[in-house]
Amino acid sequence: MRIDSVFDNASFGTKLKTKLIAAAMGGRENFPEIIALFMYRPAFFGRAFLDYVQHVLRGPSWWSVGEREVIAAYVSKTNECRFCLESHRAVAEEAVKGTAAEGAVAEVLADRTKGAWRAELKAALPLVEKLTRAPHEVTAADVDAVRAAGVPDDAIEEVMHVVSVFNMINRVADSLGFAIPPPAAMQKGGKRLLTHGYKT
Amino acid sequence: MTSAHNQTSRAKLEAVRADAQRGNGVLPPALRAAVFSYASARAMQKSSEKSSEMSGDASALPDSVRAFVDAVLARAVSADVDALKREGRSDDFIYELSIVAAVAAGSARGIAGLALLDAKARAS
Repeated sequence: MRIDSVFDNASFGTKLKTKLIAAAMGGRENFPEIIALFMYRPAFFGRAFLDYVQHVLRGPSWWSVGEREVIAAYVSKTNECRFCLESHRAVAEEAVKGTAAEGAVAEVLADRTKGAWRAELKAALPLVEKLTRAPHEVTAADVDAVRAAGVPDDAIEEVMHVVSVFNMINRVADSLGFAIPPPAAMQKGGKRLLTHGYKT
Repeated sequence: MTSAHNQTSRAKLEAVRADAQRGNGVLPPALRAAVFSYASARAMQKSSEKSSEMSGDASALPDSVRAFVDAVLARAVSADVDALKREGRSDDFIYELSIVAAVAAGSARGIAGLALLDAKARAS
């Protein structure tokens, strides 16, 4: 974390909570610094953001939780945000355990046409990438291509919100420089996010 | 007509944008508004275009602030934060600048996508 104040100027309660979470995660090096960010000044950035994230990633949707987490990871991959990519890849992997897509998260992230995923998800990923990489180039034809794959407009809108969320948090993560916990901690964090969601 | 769920999503997106633009902070309101406007416009511009060619008010931003916002929109690294620290900017200044630029750039993409859906709905 490039901003010391997030830890140094936190309230006593927040510092205590940070210590407890770090202990539960097996040590300070496993602590996801994004949690400290959300607790730092939640009225400025945190409370409303997590409320939006929870609604978009865990609310009722045409897309499964695993598919939404793949879209989140795909945006993060496009933006080269390693912290968010690793975090949401871990959640997606947990979410699709026991389904046809088990073990296929890395595959679709490496090549959006690959893996045992619904054709509708694969059809939406080009729009996700274009909206992330070159939003000025996105046209109605890009949306029509997703519709042509059988995705209803409400589901396309749900995709737009995932794109919106991760184009925000990817930039926050890279700007403030969150440390990347080791793979085992990421996996543990993925399980926790799948179980508890993004509620504050 | 968008679903009730998506209408709520839109309201929640607006709440995030409102906090970044109007929440209490150390960035002077005029500078914060200028950063938000600049980052929103820059996010929807070809990356090869210069900031002087865009509609957002780039001239309202000090050079170092504009450079940092550009870095956040692309992919900020330690050197970008260090440059502001050397200039004597506080942690909260850098934190807020990062949040405002990121929220503006991210939400601009979502809003652009929603506009395409809304245009299609109006036409049909």
